[in-house]
Parts: sequence; C-alpha cells; structure tokens
Amino acid sequence: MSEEQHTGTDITHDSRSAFDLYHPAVPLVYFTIVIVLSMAAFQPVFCVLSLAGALIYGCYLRGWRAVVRSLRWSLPMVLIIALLNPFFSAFGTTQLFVLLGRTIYLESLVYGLCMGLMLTAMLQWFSNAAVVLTFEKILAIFGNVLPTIGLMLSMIMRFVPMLARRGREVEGVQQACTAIAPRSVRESTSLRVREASVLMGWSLEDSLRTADAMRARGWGGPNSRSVYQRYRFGSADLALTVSFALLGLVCAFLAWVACSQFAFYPTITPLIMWWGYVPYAGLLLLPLFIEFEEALRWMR
Amino acid sequence: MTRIPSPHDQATVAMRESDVVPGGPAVPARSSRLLTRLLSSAEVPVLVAVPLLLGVCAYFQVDQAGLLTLIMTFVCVGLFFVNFERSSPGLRQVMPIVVLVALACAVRILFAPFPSVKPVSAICILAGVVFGRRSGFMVGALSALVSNFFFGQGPWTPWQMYAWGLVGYVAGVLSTHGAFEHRGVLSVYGFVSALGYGFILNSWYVVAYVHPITVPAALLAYGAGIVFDIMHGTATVVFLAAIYLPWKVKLERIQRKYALCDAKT
Repeated sequence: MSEEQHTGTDITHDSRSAFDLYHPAVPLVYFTIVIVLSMAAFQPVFCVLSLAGALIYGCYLRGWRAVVRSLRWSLPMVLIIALLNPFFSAFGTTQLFVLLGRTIYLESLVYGLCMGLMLTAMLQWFSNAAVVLTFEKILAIFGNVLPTIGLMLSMIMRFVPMLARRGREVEGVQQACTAIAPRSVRESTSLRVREASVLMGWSLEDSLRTADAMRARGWGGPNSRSVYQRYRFGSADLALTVSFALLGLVCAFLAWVACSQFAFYPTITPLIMWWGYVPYAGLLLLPLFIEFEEALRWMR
Repeated sequence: MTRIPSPHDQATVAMRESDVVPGGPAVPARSSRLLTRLLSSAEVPVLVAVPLLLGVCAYFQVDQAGLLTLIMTFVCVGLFFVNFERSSPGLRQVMPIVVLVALACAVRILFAPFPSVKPVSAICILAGVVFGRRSGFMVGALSALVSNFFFGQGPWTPWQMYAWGLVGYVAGVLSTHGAFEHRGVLSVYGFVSALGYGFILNSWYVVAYVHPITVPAALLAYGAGIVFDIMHGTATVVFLAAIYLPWKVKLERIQRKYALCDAKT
C-alpha cells in the first residue's frame, strides 16, 4: 500500500482560514448550526441560499477548481434524486407529461430538485468544515472531554501509515524467502493472509509494550493532559460563539415560519420576496466577513 | 509481568488500573456508580431505538425525519463512547482496539478502488468475538470515523459508525452464547450483517430523502444498493474465512500472554 492511494480529503494540509485565530470550538459551533439548519430548513429559497453560501465559502477555502471537482460527482447524484422522485413518488396537481406510463408532476419534480440541492449543500458544508476543523483541532476540543477516545484516535491516525510501512517490510521479508514464492493464485492469497496475520501480531504486541512504557512514564496520572498547540477560549471567541448561536436561533425561527407557510403538495406555494431570508444569508456569509475583516486588518 | 485488573468492560467494578498509580483517582462514589450502571443499562434500549425511530419516521412520514434520526444515532454512538470512557480502560485494554481499527482502516484504504470490498465488518466481528461486545462496537464505530477522515466525512459517518458498531456488538453477544462454535453460523452472520449494514444506511436515505415514501420509491432505493450489499456480504464472508481462525488464535494468545482480562461480559 502506498501513501498515494489515500483518497478523499487530505487530512494533513494546513488550514488557512480566519477561524484559525479563534478557539476550535467556534468553527465547530458555526458548522454545526449551519449544517443542522441546512438539513432542517427544507424550503426552496433556504436550500438555494445554503448551497450558494457553501459554494462561495468553498471557493474561498478550497479554490474554485476543487469545488468544481467535488460538484462533478455530486451533480449527477442531484439529477438522479431530482428525476427519480417524481417518477416514483408521483404526487401533485400540475401535470407535466407522461413518461413510460407514469404521470410526471411539477410538484414532485421540484421536491426532488430541492432535495438534491439540500444534499449538495450539506456535502459542500461538510467539505468546508473538513478544511477548517483539522484533525488536530478536533482532538484539542475532545481530547480532555473524552481523553481515552482522543488518545485512541490520535494513535490510530499514527498507526495507519505505520502499518503500511510495516506491511511493506513484512512483504519484503516474505519475498526474500524465495523457496516459498507463490506459484499459484491460491498460494499467493495464502501468502497475503499470512502477511496480514504477521502484521497484526507484530503491531499488537508492539503496541502493548508501548502501553507498558507509557504507564511506566506516568500516563494516566491525575492531571489533565496538555495539547501540542494551546487554544484559549477568550472573550472574542465567546462573543463570536454567542453571536453565531443568536443568529442561528433567529434563522431557525424564520426558517420555521417559512417552512410552515410553504408546501410542495398539492400545489407549490408561490414564493415571495421576504426580509426573513436576509438573516440566513448573513449567517451563511459570516465566515467570509470574518475573512475579509482579517484581510483588511493586514492591509492597513 | 504483574496481573493488572482492568475492568474495561465491567463498568460496575470499582477497581481501576489507575488506582495502582499513587495519587490516581479514588474509588468512585456511590452516585457515580449508580450513573455508570444507569448509562450501561441504557445501551441496548438505545441500540434498538435507532432502527425503531427509523421505522416510526417512515410509517408516519415525519417531516424532519432525516435530522431526527441523525440525532438519535449521535446519541447512541455518544453513549457508547461515554460508557467506554467512564469504564476508565487501562492502556492495555485500549491497544487491541487501536490496532484492529488501524488495520481495518489500512485495508479499507488498500481496497479503496473496490468500494464494496470492506474488511471493516470482518474485523468488527472478530473484535466482538475475542474482546467482547463493547469492544466490537468501539472497533466498528472508530473504524468508520477514522477511515472517513481518508474517504471524506459526511452525514453518513454517524450511520456507518452505528451500523458497524452494531455488527461488532451483535457478534459479541452471539459469540458469548456460543453461536459461532459452528463455522457455518459465522459465515451466515458475516453475510447477513453486511446486508443489515446496507439496509440501515439505505433506510436512512429513504427516510431522509424520499418524500412521500411510497413502496416503489423505497424498493428502488433498496434495489439500487442490493448489488453492492451482496458484494459487501461476500467480501465479508471471504475475509472471515481467511482471517477468523488464525487471527482469533493469535489474539487469544496475546490476550493470555499480556494478561488482558477476558472481557466477554
């Protein structure tokens, strides 16, 4: 196994957002609020706003190329959800056309489209959160709340590349013994299984010796652990967290009002211009305001 | 080598490994013991509550079903994490879980080009059998969490954590009742558990993203995943056939050698 085969998000990259200036709990609160609201506020305008906010912030954090790349596989999914919903949940009053003996209604098409938008928005917010909340920050938050789990997580993250390295070592040793070189598929399979077993036994015994060494050096004493990078929850963090929470509450109330007035079935309630969408847009763009404020401060 | 009593899975036992360390935390107070007992007795109800809530949400077509059930899985996984933390497991109790999770993640990454070939179920089952049901849950939940740091986190993470945790937990329960004495039962469980894993994840998709839920829509959602689920099940059976016996023997030998307590409670 090689390091290049690690797919998905790169977890080792340095995050470079203005949230780095704050305690990691601040972005955690923010992304939790935004993701929960994106899931709960199921109304076309809210879905579009959430997606737009996620894309704009994503372009800032990850660059537009990365955003387009992530949309490349999520857009087909949106289309599938949008098109399958009217096909199998045929409800509504506005008949569009008949396809393969099934009537397609405008309402369920719009419903499916909104569902797809919401799902994409949520995925984009998750990707944004992954850039800001690095593994180290998550450990800093939960490390002293759940110390054992925090320790386990950090050890696992270290073990994964180490196992890959040791796996190659075991493989090298087995290959050096040419007498047992596999001659058939069956033999090469059993060789792989043997390699995995050797790797497991070696690593487990080694880890237990590490455990004894850690205990001998005073692990598990009464004091709570320190972290590599110290974060202090100061007044600026508190102010920002409280304002996120308040704005989130206002948005939740407005979303509840908007959702209770809105219905997809039997006919779609017409959408109107409403001031109530502004706070939500503000909440979604808040990280960008923070980024720009920070940039301005540096330019001065 | 001294024998260290490490009540990793016996949460109600007051003796802790850290008691051996001078100045370590004292024996917990009575109220704390009561809380511990309460929390650990809540495990099974909460495990059952997740699929139950999914079913109720599907039946009554609840509006916020996706969010509601997601919160429930958070509660379930969180309860197991808190209970594990409260049992103050010794470092030696933690290490087998760490190594098995790391192995599960490494092999999942190795097989990343074939998304259905996931070794995680097989390793959860093994952990449940050798180290007890709670360790099985922890291995499943942590494998999902950590491997998604490589594959990408999303709303599916808590569901994968729950589903794989359940696979390990049920394996632990079954093996304490001697169900895996027969190898056929093990293979059947491996296959069925992979299908169940797929069923839970598909059910969340249906409950959260299909509205109104109709029989053809639900069938389509399950049908779309069935090929992957069957492949996942087959892969689990193959993994189990390859590693179950050798790894079980090896793990049990290490358990004896390092005096890890037999935590099949």
